[in-house]
Amino acid sequence: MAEIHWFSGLALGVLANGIAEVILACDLHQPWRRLNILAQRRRVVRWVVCVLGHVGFAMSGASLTQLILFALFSISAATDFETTLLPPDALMFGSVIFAMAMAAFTGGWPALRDVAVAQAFCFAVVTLGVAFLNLCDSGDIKLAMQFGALCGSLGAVAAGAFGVWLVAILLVSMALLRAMLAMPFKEALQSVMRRRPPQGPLLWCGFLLATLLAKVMMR
Amino acid sequence: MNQNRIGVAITLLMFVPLAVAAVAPAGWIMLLSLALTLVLQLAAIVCFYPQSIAKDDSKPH
Repeated sequence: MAEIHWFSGLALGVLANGIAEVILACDLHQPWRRLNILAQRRRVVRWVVCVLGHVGFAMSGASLTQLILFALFSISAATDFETTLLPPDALMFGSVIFAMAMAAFTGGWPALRDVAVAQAFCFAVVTLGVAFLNLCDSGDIKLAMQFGALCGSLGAVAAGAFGVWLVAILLVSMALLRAMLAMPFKEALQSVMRRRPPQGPLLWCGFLLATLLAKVMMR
Repeated sequence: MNQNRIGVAITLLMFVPLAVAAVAPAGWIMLLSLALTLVLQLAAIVCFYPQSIAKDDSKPH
């Protein structure tokens, strides 16, 4: 059973990367041959990290539905990582509807309620964040809905947000240390705070980290 | 801009049925509040879509 799960994670990871590749080439006009050497390296890193992430997620005991939802989210994270643009709306809204339909099919009304509340909560919070605080861009509203649907409940959203916070702290610390080698602390801090990393990969890494941490702590 | 304000107002309003749906036990109240939440969310998306959500697809973050 574990071997089947390992293999389905690998297969879905490759499939998600393949679909992201098609969207990048056709919809976002970024085929492999047009990339410079730096962007090609970035794409290879994305493939490796994405496939390894899928295998890790599959081995944490995720169900097939969760694996499919994670693969759909990976497509958005992949295009966001490379171009800071998101895939077509049909894929983003479609994955939210798919998550709710699968929850209703497998767990009935209570499961549907959990998924619907999680995605609606993420939608509302990010919408207000965009409208009042200008914290992120409006395309991230769709990404947040997809993230909520992937998490599947408010508790999982809280755990995922904690994972995102951990990843963000790690990234900011690393960027700050690098900047401090070139400039004084105050300027380095200002330059780091001005940066806006794409939200898709951040949410992807945070969700994966939270899932794996929960798995380790439950042992 | 006006549509965005309506969208924000609908989103704020959405928190009421959302909170009820999150805490209510399974039954008619939960179903009704869930349906109302999803309807308000759809309305907010429709308000935001032309000016914000769709526009971001062609604009870097």
